Amino acid sequence: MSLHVRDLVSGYGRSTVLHGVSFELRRGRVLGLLGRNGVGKSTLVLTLAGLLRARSGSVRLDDRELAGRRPDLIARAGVGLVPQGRRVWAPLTVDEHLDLAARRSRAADPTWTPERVFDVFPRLAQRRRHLGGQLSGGEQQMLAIARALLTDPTLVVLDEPSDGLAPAVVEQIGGMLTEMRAAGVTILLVEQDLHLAFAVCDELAVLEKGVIVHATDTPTFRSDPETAHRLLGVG
Amino acid sequence: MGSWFEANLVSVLNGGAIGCLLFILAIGLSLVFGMMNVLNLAHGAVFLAGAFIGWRIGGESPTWGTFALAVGAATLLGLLAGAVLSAMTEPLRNRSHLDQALLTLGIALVAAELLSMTFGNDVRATNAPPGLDGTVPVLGTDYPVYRLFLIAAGLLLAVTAWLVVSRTAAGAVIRATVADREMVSAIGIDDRKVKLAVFAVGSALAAVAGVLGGPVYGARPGLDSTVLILALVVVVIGGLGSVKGALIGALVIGQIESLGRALFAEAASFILFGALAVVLVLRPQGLFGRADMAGAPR
Repeated sequence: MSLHVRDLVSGYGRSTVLHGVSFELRRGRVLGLLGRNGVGKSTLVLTLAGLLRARSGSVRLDDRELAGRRPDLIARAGVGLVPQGRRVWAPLTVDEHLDLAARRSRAADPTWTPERVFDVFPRLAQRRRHLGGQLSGGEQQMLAIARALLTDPTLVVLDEPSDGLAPAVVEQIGGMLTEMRAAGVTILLVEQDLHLAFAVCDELAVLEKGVIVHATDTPTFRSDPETAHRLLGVG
Repeated sequence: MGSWFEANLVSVLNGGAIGCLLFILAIGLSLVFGMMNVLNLAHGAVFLAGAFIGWRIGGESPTWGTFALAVGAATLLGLLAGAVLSAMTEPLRNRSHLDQALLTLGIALVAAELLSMTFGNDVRATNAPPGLDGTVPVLGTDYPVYRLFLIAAGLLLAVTAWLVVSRTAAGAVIRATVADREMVSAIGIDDRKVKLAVFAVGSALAAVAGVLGGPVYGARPGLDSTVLILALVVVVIGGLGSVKGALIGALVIGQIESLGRALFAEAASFILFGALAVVLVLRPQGLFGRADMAGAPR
């Protein structure tokens, strides 16, 4: 019961961005994907969700092959997407986002309900009748996560959920990631905020020029600041 | 002002009737373009097919029975035509608007030729059904009842469309698809089905608009491109994928077509495209469109 990505190749138009990405992630674990700007992190996220078509390679979730399939089928196979830039629907209310996502949930007794999400994100509960376009950046991020969770995913892929948010909001998002992990959700977290990545990830991988160049568990990664500095340009 | 209004009342009402008819026609075009980024130039041909159906079933003097039958037949034909168009444009999903325009224009030309082979090249005029074929005094002027009926039908449909789009779950899918189609598929919704449904309903409305427009325009070859251009102008002025935009755009174009023609007969078509140019310069996304959709196919 896990995610197996093997030799994944993807890109835009004529340019290839991912040159054969391979990794494994066991169920309920949190993998942080690090890397400088432009190394292909978002390309990997979009390819896993099916919004970019994989050129070759394999993405297996719980022994189902997902590479090259349509995004709606990938979503129904259990992949939830929290995309870069949040991409909430500006003309829909918070409740409408959650209703649409939940209608696609396959489970009769879903793990995630609006109430459970609102417990972790009380600010979202106060905005239920507000439109997506009226929300603050932090509220939009909470909504993007809530929308993904209400599809009842086994894997959630998040692309820089802390981007541009105040530390207090990032802390709440970290709290939700912890809650998701406790509920058995497998998480792939693309993050530039090392503080958040260190706090919630079991394992860390570094992407460089379209391939994974370093992968280890979080304590080992933190014990080797020189490698981190060399790969990420940060301490 | 009062006397000006009285003097031009007939033109204003005519503009309202044309505008309401245009709204019924343009709403499908706007939603399909706004949601699925498909430019459907066969929309006018569906309208003309509806007008010919009205004439074929009801003849020159339809009864209420034949009129209702024509509306029903046009609805079915429109649903079918929309489904076929949706399937035919599917392989061009990620291609440019030019490719889509060439395909749908080709379909439109073939359809127009088939209609002309079937129904001939004469104007197939048809009357309004009984009760709607007379005139009624409006502020001292005799005015055709049928055109008032068109205004009522258009406004009723506008309210219905607005309620469906703004208040129902299906409407939420439509709004979400207009806003960000990829994220709709990323929560597990098959956007090909959404496209099929909107295409089918939009084409059905175009065909019904053809039946309703028969007593005003008369079914004739060439009407398809006339109404297609008007509907495209409505969509550009109103903004893509917006019910409100399509309504306001249609009412504005209706007035330009009618009042403009009455007041500045020699410059009427110039006013139409002049208004289009002004909107494009000042608000490229249309009066009610979103800025990020202007000229940015995704």
